[in-house]
Amino acid sequence: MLFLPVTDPRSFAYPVLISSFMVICIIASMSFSWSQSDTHIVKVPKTISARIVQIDKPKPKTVKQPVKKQVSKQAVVPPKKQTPKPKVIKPVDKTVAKQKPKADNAPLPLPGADLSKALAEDEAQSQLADLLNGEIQARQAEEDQQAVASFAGQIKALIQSVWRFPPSAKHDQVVLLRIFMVPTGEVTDVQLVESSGNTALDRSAEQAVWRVAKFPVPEDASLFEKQFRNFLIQLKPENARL
Amino acid sequence: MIKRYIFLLLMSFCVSSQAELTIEITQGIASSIPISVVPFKFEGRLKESVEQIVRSDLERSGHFSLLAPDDMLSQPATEDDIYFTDWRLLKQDYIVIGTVKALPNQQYEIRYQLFDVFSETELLTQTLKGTESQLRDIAHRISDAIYEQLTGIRGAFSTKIAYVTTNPQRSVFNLSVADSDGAREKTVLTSKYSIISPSWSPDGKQLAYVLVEDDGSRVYIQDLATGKKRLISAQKGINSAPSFSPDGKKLALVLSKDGNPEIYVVKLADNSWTRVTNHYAIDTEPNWMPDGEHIIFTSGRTGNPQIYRVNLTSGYTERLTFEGSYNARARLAQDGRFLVLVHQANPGAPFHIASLDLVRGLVQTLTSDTQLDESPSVSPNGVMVMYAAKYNGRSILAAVSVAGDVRFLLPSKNGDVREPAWGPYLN
Amino acid sequence: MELNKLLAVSLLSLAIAGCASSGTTDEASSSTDEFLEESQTQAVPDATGFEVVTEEQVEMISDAMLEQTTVYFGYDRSEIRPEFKDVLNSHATYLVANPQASIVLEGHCDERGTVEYNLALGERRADTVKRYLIVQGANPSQIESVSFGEERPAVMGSDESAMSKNRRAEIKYK
Repeated sequence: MLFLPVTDPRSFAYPVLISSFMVICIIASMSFSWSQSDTHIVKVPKTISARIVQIDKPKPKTVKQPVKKQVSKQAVVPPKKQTPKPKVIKPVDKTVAKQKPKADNAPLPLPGADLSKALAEDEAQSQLADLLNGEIQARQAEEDQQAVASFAGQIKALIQSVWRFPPSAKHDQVVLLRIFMVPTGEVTDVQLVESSGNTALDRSAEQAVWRVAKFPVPEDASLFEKQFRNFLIQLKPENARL
Repeated sequence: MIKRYIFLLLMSFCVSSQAELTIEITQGIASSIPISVVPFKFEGRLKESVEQIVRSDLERSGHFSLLAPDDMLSQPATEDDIYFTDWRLLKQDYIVIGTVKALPNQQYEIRYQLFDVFSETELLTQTLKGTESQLRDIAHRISDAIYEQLTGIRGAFSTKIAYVTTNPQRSVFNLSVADSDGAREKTVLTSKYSIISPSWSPDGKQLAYVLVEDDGSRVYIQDLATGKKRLISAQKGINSAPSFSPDGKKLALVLSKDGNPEIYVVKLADNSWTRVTNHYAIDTEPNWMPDGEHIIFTSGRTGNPQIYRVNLTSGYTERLTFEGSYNARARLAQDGRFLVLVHQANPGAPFHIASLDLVRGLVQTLTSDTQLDESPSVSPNGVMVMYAAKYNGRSILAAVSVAGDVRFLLPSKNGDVREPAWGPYLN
Repeated sequence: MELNKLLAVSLLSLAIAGCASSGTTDEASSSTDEFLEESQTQAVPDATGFEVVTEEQVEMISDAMLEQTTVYFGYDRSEIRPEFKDVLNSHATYLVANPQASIVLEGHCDERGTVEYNLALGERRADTVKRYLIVQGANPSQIESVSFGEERPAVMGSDESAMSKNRRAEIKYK
């Protein structure tokens, strides 16, 4: 239910901004004609983008933090993984699949490249925006967002239905995983980005992803590459007894 | 840098058009873990089946559901023989395989491996050696290791329990010690007097208990290795409810020599006594907190029994239970987060075992199918409670998890079984 | 003074005994209650109804009361119920009259509640009886008390009739 900056305790401005933003959003979405009525769309993104300019600044922080962490962690993760799992059996299909994302879009999975990549993408996007009609772009982006939200929701529901956390799990422990998928939605790798400190809980989270094994993903290749080729999932057993 | 479009999604995940997707999962299921313990490979016959003991240990914990060997598609003994897809098909999360090898000098070598079926990795492997009579110990050690690896909680299968059995005429009482699964029972004391309140020393080498003799109750400490018992207290009136301090150097107990039952602490080395409580009401059932600084006890000072906590240095006393008309014989579970106690919700209601979450203040009644539940004793890992109860007119032992989700009755022998005491970790 | 007391107690006992013999125990206890209340205020006028009380009769009545050596308690209670006061009075009288006599009071409980709390409660029951007897003139040195908690039930069983018989204090002459 929370928009990320709201969780930032440092700022009172964000909640105010966000709540006003939410109100606008709700009003906008209510007045928004979902059946492609152009006149309404024009207004909505304008209002939103005007607000977003300010709200945007803390945003990369929260987004980039995990990315940065991942950069530093990824160097640490492999040896870590090897200690509790002294013997790693990698079936053929897995190793092949694992290499696949690296081959497919070389710049993307390289953790160091993530930042510059994001920057470049941003710039490209804004140039594109200048070229294209803002309305069309807004609609396209919105449709993308809806698709992302829908698939993310399905993924969340699937994981929650099979995530069996151990009895030692505490309600405030958090596991951060990175999931790697191929365009069919099949999971090719799961990496522990941030441990909860409870190995059994970490393992239960990884297992939950493997247990689903195949997730629904958008057919649109660019959207898949952008959001689902690899993404983060944060698992927190809020309904744990402890 | 401008992000042009952000959409707020009224769901528990958030995405922005250029942001990396992070999905937040906040709910899981706390159900039992499916695991297969494949029959260990062995040429020959043994009086104990190691993997069967492991299987029943894990099953009894309530945290696991075990696949019956008959339902397995294959029974691999080596890693190369494991077809993980088969086990995934059987909806198994983990698989345990093992071999038993006879060594020349009447010893056996047991090797086992635990695999994660999904990541197809080995999580645990161990090789243990022992004689045939040690196979049970080895099996419990294996259960402990698997349990800890998969639940994040230390296993308590290798621990002992003490309890009192008596004939229907109540003319003979036996204090017995057995494995936590009830196997290998050994009687350590037989008496014509009632034996009550057995209490383990923290090292598991001694038992304190009370004999209700003709002229009053007396507290003894018995050394389990030698069988020698030592009289600790035989004052006028009640001498009862012994409880060892966490360091094993002191014993808290109840004496009524001053007119009514009060809690005292005796230093075992020099037999020096300190009075802890001073109230005209009944104060009894002391139990040390893990810090060695506090004692919880039952007191009737408000008219009916409730649980209190006293600081041994300052004497500051605090009431802990408020819900229910009868709360007594509290024991601590999970680092003192939970109290497990005998609870009666209101006058006339049945007596059951309940837990009190001291952090959230919630009382949860754990038992329902047994009657007159009493004497709760918590496993050293804080997960299970063993208690005595009436069932079909007999006194039996039963167990329930502190979470309340697992219950079972312990196989009852002839006569009545009472006063269970779960022993400490032995290593 | 002491003789007067003895006589009063005996008269009272006689009256109760008379009542008790004519009904079941349940009825007896309720009628005892009524009579007790009456007799406390009107002991002397009522005594006329009994005409002559011989020494022999006093002796006999006391013996009858002394034969009752158990008093019962309510659940989780340790105070003496009114219907048992005469029994205790007669024991007190006996102890006063026979300073060499001594008793052990055993406190018992039913099986409800915890073992240790019941051990304490049993002691409390024995002690209440002890205090009552002392107030009635018995010498503290004549009375010892011991608690058996729920360890020595008089009747086996978990129904209320069994349990009510187990919540008791027993007077045992040495």
